[in-house]
Amino acid sequence: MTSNQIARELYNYFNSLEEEVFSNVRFLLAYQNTIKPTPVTKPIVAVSVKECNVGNRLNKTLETGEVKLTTSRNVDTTVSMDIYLPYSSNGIEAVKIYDRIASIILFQLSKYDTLGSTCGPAEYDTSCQAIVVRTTFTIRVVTDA
Amino acid sequence: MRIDKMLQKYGKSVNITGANGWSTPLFHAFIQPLRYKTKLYMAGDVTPIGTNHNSVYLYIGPPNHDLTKLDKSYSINDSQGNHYFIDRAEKIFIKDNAIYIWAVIRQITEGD
Repeated sequence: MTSNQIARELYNYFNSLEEEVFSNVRFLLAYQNTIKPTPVTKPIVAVSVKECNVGNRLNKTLETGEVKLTTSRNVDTTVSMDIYLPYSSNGIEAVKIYDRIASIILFQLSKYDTLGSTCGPAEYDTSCQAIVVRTTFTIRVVTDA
Repeated sequence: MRIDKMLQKYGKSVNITGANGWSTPLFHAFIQPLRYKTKLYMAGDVTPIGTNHNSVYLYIGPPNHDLTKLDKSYSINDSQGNHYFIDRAEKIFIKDNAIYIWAVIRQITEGD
């Protein structure tokens, strides 16, 4: 599974969820060729790949005790899910949205090996004219050549 | 000195509405595109949540419709069906008399 596929899967999953917390939240893939709403009136979560780290080749211990280098590697993908809110909001709503996203990814989507998550402070983004809370989720996938 | 006659003669028909259903009758004001000092962002600003077209306009209107008291929840509507919110508004005075309202307004777009 590639980093891009992980981001797309998360976007598709949250976009199809019918939960009260997300009832007026719009999920989208970041940097799509769309027109930005001006002003932002409802929360928007922009999903994208922030970072991708490919690790060294993994070792495998054989039955004989011999250690062999495999073709597998750990790929750690950091997916950013930035939450944009109307400038009249105070950021509390973003924390509620983040809480729910984090609990779903960390505890319900067991197919992902989630290494960690971060949530930044509420800031004003001048180009979007919206409050933004930047959040990330780092997910590990073992890939084979 | 007031500019009401000039606005009446050359201005666009506009009104102001609020989220609570409040609205003014039609009046006349100038709404013109702001002249950009740089052409760098004329194509729009690409952001993670879509392209921001930065449609910013200069408003000059009569002093009896005081935009300085209105927040961003109010919208100015013109006869072409465009809606704008107020970024910044100032009263322009000659001596102690407000002669017109100057404002920078931004076009409201729904997005895709």
